[in-house]
Amino acid sequence: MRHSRLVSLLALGLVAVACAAPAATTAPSVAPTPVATHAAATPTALAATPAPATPTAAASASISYPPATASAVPSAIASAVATGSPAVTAPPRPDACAMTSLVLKNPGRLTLSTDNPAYPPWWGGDPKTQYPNQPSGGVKWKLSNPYSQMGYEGATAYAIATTLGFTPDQVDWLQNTNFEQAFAPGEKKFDFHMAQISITPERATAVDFSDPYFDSEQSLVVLQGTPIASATSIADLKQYKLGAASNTTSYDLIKNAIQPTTAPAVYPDNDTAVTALQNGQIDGLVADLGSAIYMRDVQLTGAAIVGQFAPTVQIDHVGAVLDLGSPLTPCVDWAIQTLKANGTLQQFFVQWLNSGQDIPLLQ
Amino acid sequence: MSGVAPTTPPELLGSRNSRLLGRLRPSGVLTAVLSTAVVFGVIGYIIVNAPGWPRVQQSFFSPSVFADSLPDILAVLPLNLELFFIAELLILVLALVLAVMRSLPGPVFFPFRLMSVVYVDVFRGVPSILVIFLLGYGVPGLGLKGVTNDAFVWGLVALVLVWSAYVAEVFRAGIEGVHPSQEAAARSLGLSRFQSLRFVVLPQAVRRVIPPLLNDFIGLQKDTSLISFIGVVEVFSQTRIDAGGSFNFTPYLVCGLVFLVMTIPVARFVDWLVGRDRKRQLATIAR
Repeated sequence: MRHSRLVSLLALGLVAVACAAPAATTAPSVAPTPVATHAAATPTALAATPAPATPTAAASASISYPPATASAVPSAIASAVATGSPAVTAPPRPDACAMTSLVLKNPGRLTLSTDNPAYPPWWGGDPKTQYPNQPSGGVKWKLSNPYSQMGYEGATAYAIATTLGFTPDQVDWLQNTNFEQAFAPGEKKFDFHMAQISITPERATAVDFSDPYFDSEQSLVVLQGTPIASATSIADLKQYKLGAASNTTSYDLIKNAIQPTTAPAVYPDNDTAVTALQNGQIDGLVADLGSAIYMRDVQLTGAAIVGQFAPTVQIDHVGAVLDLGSPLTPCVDWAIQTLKANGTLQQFFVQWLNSGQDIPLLQ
Repeated sequence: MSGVAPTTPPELLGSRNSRLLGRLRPSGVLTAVLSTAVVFGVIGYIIVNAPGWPRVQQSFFSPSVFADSLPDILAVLPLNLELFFIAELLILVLALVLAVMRSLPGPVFFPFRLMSVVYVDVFRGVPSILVIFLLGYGVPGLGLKGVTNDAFVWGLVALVLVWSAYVAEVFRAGIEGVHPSQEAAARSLGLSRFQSLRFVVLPQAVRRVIPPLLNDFIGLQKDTSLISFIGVVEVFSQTRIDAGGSFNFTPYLVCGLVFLVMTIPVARFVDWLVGRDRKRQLATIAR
């Protein structure tokens, strides 16, 4: 492959981001109204879980998610808590995970990594705002800002950091622009990487995964008024041209569960897939439910979500990526188990991912 | 008698003119073998004893992932080949038209020369991926009636547009390399400008540019992968899918080998064609 391909890929990234920004109707710093009441959580002896930084007035967007109501949890959406329930007590802290014994890339600070651009609702905040815990200069984030502690993964990352004993200003963020960077051999530059990566046994031979912090369902985004919009089951979808973003388990779902008669299309990232759907080049786009809601509300015009695929069809366990054999893995696992046990992850789910809508099941 | 200096087809071993081995005596061969063994042995030793080698070996040279991804990649290879063959035919035609347009003399043909120059400058200067994006997403985005949305078609159009610019310059070099006395002689025999172009200049021009054309053929074969960026699942796209699914880089090795297997036979075939053509030319001279 020629070196001009590398330059072309860089240009592709710039073009994709440049095209994604005007495509959003407004600055996509979504700030769903925090839920006033949530499932009762047993208070823990740990430091308080961090509250998301309140966005400045300039950063609030005119498009916001439908306000989450505590009562209307759709029966179809699986809980974020894969194992355990609020009744389970938090496991004790392993000795090797004491704050002073942690093996870190940058001692005294937690170096985390996520994709750039980082998509809502997994991340949030305003890229142009300088948050109090954010160092000046450095990477220009797109679409959202990990330092804002907003979004499901953003909040979870800071919750893990706090559980381990760090303060928010001790957390540094690295950007990951290329999916392959996350699993390239050699020492990683981050302590752990969160970017909606699904845990599979095959992948676990190349990297360490933390315990899953979310169970993700896939869903189908279409344009309103098209024939596919009236589909009610997987069998109805076989005849259409479907698409997915590369390196997602959405493509696996298309190949394994739907098995359409036309070859599906695979796009380098979510932005190009969304463009293709808007152009009518594909009939339907399979993406995880959280991203699908963002696409429908912010990135597309005249779109609808036909349904979500039942957990029996495919369920993805999303976990953080660490160096293979990293000594930090049991500590991150412990932090995630603690957050599950005290209901923090469920709280984040209700706050960031629960759309309050009833989305039909496809099976 | 042809005024053209015949190009030597590359022969790797044995020929007196070959620069690779030069004039070797038996002791020279032994030295060459020993030296090769030492150089590659040292490089291999450094690589294999690097601290990260086991991880890299597992990540880039995993036999199980190789076996898994090879059938997937071969299954979509026909897409690349189809794109390559169709594109190549269209490119040769369009490039020849552009090159001939550029060589039309006289002020009355100025607009054609200008169009050709502008076309070549624009499409050589812009990265091919941008043209592919513009045509692959931009044109379907316009929503024109009667115009296909198919990514394969627009990828084909983009590749043809870009590569015609490169190949047109190659043809132009060939045409201008034919000695002017050829055309003068043809005109003095009563052939029209078009006839002298068709029967005298172009056959010579095309013969002499076959090796650089081969360069562009091979470049085009690899550039067919660019349509993976507009959604078509072809070799490179399938490679990324397999690599991302297994968190392993071995599919890229498979992809590289597949491309090598595609391009090397083409190169040897063209060498054979050129060699056969040269033999025919020399045979006529010897008589």
